[in-house]
Amino acid sequence: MTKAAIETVIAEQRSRVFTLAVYLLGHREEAEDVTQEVLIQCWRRGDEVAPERLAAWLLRVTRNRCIDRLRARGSRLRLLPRAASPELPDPVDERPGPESVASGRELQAAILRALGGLAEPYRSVVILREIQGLSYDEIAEALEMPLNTVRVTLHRGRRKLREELREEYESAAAC
Amino acid sequence: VLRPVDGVACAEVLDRIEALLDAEVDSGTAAAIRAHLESCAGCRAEWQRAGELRAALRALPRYEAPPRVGAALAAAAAADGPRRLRYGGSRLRPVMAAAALAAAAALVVGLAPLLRTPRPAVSDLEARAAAADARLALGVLAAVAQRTELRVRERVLDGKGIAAGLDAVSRSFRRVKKLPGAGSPQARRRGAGETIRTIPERSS
Repeated sequence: MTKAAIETVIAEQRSRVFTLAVYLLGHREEAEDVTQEVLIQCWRRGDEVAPERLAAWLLRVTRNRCIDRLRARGSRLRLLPRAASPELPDPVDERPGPESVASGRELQAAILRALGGLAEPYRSVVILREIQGLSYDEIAEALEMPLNTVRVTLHRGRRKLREELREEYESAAAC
Repeated sequence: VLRPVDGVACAEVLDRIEALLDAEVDSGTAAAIRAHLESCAGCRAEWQRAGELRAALRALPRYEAPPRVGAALAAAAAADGPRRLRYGGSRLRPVMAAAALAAAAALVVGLAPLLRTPRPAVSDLEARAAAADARLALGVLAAVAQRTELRVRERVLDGKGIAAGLDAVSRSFRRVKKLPGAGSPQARRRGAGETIRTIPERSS
């Protein structure tokens, strides 16, 4: 694979890599560090990967590095503290969603906290599918999972999130 | 067969809500689930919550990789070979940019006191002492800028990024203020009569 082809993949995927790291780590500086490490690794060793698999390889390496950092934190893969909002950068875009959902910053913060409480691999699958918009096939390749496992993991992950959010709303209502 | 408002049927429906959201159930099953949802308020509420959650997740922002990532990547690419990496539509030369920034910042910070303080030339001796001060300051700043350039280059190539390089610049400036001899009477006397050479030989 030529350096020019690697450049193209990096240019196309760098935001996806950074976004995955931001949501997995819940910390902007650490996400920047991971993104930098991964892209440099891609530049240096990308020619060892088949061109059609390089994008998936980038996401896999990003996830692995994030998990390594979380283990080093000793956070038992718990990403975002439930009581605090994650330190996230300003978004590159504010995609409009249904008014009843997307307009609520409170709901968004609650979702981020719930996402932080989600175990792996549910968290990665949910992020890649719902936030990044990857197809099941792309997720399967990135995480080296069978297609059906991706499907089941996504469904369970969303259900866990829903249960988590219901608990949060119920506890908030009781206060 | 799904039976409306039945415990078993509700469990089946709830188990398939996610699949229905993703349109992954066959049309017959989808119709049965929808019929159940119409008659079961509990399952319908859960279905609505599932849809709202998915919409909320999809409304979460995506992020653009910050410039320092691109600069570090370009530095790594430059260190690996003569070919420069395009990042974000522009060709970057971060080491040179960092060195130039360090030198410019050193000049601004170092010369600011000289520029702020008016120095009337009362006598020839004082004028020569002032010139010696200026030469000394410029020499020290040149040496600091040179060391800083090397430090920035090391930091950037180590993958610590431009931010780490700029930290090195900042630390260098703090050290300038602590350098012994700068502005001392000995330096002034020495500077009045001889050339001061403070730029070390560049090690290859």
